[in-house]
Amino acid sequence: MARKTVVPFGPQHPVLPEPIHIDLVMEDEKVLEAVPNIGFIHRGLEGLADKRDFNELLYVVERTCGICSFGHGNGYVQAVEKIMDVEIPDRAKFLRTIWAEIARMHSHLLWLGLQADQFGFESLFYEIWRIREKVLDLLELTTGGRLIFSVNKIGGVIKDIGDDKMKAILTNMSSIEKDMRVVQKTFMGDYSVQSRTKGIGVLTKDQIHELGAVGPVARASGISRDMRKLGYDGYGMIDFEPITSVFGDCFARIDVRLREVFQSIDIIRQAIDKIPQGELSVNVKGNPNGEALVRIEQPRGEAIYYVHSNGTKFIDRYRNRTPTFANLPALCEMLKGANYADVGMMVVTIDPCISCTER
Amino acid sequence: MAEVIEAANEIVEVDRDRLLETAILMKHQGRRLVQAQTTWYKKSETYECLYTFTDDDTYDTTTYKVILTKDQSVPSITSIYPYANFYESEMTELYGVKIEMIDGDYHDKLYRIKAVHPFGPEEGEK
Repeated sequence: MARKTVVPFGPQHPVLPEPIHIDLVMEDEKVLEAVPNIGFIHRGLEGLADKRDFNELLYVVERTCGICSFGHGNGYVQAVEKIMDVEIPDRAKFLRTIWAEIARMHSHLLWLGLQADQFGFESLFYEIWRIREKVLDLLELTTGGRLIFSVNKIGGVIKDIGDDKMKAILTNMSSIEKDMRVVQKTFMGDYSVQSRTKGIGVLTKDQIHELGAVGPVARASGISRDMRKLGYDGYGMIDFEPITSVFGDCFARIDVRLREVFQSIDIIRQAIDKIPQGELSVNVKGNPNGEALVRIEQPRGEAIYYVHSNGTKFIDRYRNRTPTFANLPALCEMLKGANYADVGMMVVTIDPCISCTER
Repeated sequence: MAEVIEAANEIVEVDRDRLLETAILMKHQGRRLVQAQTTWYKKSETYECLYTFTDDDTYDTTTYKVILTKDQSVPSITSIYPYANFYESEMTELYGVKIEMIDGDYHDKLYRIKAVHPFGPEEGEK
């Protein structure tokens, strides 16, 4: 029997854009156990909840992360709107849906690029990030910002998308869809991609349930769970079904995210087709008093937003349970029995967002 | 036609002595632990610990709230939901909640931060 050794993975590692540390207990090249450490960049943003006006807190919340920024703002305003019993106009609901899906495309494309980079397929990485630029350009065109665009407000949205910009979105969607067909063919058909990802990091449906994993990680193992089915924003008026796979390995997680990019394109088209004319927001008076817990589907999975307020302009508590935090137990389980060479692949495959986790 | 799932989403208070019993009931119903969290409220000088469980078929969600004083402890639910150790470690390390019998305890090592219980009663204690 070989001697056990502990190999540190991270916080600085070529596959990690953000710091997380995992102690890998190894026997030869095989991982026996993975012990995670987080907290390297913990900012205590939730601690600012009682120090900022609840309207200003939105801007803090949006700065939790550069990729999920829109989703965080959306979740927070939904929680406050639920407490204050505010119904936002239908146009605002559809606008939020369009931006949320563009943000999802941005997140998935960023991840797909990093995934390709992880297994050394540099040309695929460049191609995906070239497509991602088109998505960022759309965000800039419609909001003025490329990463943090601050378009939400309590009671609706602060910006509209005019007809000419809607047309630009549709034109870009066609272009992105065409480009992504090529990327999908490469990812799904390339021998080197399959050899690095098929049968690696398998989690069964039962394991996912027992580990509480969320988002594409769960859907890749056959769990048809998507918080958008709760019908928040404009999702209640849009036809779509959660995208799943049954294989539960790294390849399935790539497959699910690739197909979710096409699903986002479809949702955006439906939203543009169905969006009504009307107001962008309603006037909201007074301060929130009560508590609410809201669940939304971020690109990485189910995110929880809890707000506890007291009738003043300073809320007592804002809490965000991020998808990456929920996927850490699944990652640790996935790593058990893995070859050391596959560890980087598996860590990337949950699409870890440490900025969100270290909110 | 778009189908929307109408799901219940309620927050109910439960006594700390009934937390384990509640978690067992949730487990038997096949519910998933969505999150566990805590907050220290200076005004009332109490912790509010929230445990959220969901039914993944119906999306029905129930959040159980356990209120504790600074010196009271709460039983760990890791014997029922093993992955709760991540949430409970966060509650212990960042907020200073006393949790009994955490299975798979990280012993204050999940978070690599210097401050002890930065969001607890003694904020940012070094």
